[in-house]
Amino acid sequence: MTNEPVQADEGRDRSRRVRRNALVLGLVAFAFYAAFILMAVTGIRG
Amino acid sequence: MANTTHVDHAHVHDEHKPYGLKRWLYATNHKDIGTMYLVFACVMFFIGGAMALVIRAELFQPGLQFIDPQFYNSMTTVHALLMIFGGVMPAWTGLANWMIPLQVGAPDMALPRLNNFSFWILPFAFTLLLLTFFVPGGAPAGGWTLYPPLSLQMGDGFPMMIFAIHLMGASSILGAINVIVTIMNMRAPGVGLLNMPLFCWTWLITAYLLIAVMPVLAGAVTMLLTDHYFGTSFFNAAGGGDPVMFQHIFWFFGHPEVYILILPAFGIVSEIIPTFSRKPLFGYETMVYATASIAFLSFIVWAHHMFTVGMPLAGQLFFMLSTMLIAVPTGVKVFNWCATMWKGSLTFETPMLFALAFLFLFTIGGLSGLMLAIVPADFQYHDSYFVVAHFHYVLVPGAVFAIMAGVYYWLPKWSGHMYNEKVGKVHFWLSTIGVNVLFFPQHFLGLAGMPRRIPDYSTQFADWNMVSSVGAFIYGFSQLLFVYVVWNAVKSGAPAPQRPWEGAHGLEWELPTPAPYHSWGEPPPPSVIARGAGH
Repeated sequence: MTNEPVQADEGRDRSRRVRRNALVLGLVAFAFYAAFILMAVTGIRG
Repeated sequence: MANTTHVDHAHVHDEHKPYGLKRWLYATNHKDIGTMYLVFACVMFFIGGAMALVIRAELFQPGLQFIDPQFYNSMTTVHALLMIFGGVMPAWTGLANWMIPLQVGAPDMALPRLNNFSFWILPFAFTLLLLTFFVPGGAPAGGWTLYPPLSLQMGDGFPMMIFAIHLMGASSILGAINVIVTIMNMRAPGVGLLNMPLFCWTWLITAYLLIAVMPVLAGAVTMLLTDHYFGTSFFNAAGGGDPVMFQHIFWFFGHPEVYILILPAFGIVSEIIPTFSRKPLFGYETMVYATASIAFLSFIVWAHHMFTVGMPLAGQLFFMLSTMLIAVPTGVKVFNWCATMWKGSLTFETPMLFALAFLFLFTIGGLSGLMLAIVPADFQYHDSYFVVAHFHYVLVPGAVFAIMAGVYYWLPKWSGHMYNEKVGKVHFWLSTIGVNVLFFPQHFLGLAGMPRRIPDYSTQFADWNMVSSVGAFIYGFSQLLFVYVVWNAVKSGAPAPQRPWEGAHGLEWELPTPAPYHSWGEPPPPSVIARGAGH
């Protein structure tokens, strides 16, 4: 019983980490999408 | 087979499993979502396979037999899109969903609702793609590479195809995010990164590739859309654009995509060969580093797909040499698999047979890839049937055989039942003979000069085309056996023990059989983790 608050804290901490990681990865994906369109708009050739 | 523990079906009644349509529609359980991905992939394999048989029926003899050239081109294009995005990729995601939480000791994927969303996007995406057959102008016919200006000449189905590709990409990216977040955050205490099964490692690296390159494809098709409808000229030479730029962008996505399709196969083979050799995997860490090296190199080889567009000599040399460099980490892997089997106590159950066929036949595909990497040779081979033979050797006895090996290997754990080994072996031999009769003659056709993507051909190519088509029908129809084996196992197979394969190691084999609906609610204790780590 005494471990419950500790486990709850760990659970909340892990949820925060999961959300943060997912958001960062989503932003990375969006950055790749935008960067390649921007590259084409500005005329940089491969 | 080692009958270590008999099946305990009693726990099935305590699983609080939802029933009926809601179970699947609102699914957040990784096993249910994994099953849906695998069933979806199987349906797509059969639709895409039917298209392949239409192609091979048309090519059975020279002359136009059954379909007009426009429809033939649609068949090749949609066959590729279905097999890549609807077949192989969802099959890998299905296997990842089923196995990653079991193998890292996690109760589920980190983001279960996102997982549900990732899957349910797919049926809409592929319905949209298939509906293009019924709109004016027909289905896409410019090849899966969507090169402009040809792809921009498509009819009313064009925006449907673009939207479908966006949806497939979104699904893949969300699935990849889920895999990375699960592996990085949900591993049970004691399951270190260099302690994970190779399947998790190869999928982790694949997921990073997906996040980097699927948005690039999305960007490319968005620009195609704006060129078509909004007057931009990204790829329109008349407006100052550059169609070759599309090829660069596409293949920046396209080459890592090849490794997205094959890296998880390396993971599965790295699980199966040690199990049936009853030895730990030779060179576990070098396997991890080789996988990471292949993934890194996949970003700097893209222009080997387009040597013939006319690029500077320095560019040709760079892309030729970087491509050849990939043979080094791939060679490390092939060496390690052979070394794992060396002096092992080998048995040849169906999963091992498929893994061995993968080893031989994928290597043939890899070697013809090396031939294609040589610039002056590629000028001869480019857009010929040699290329078709090459990538089909990599993708069919490569990726598809590994998927089948994985399904046979883990089916007892999923379903609680053994499959019929005899029919499994018949399926293996028919598949292996069929696939070689189908694709090996295509090397000869390509070297003799037969171009790809043509519905009719010179009579000099008639004999090998006939042989290839016979192989296609043997291979295609033998896949019905696979469905039979799986169905038969699930419905009436003999009960499977907890660890059906004597040499199997890994946390998934520490769970009861079938794997409970909710597994690893409590993280596995250190003793179980130590027993599970077999590499």
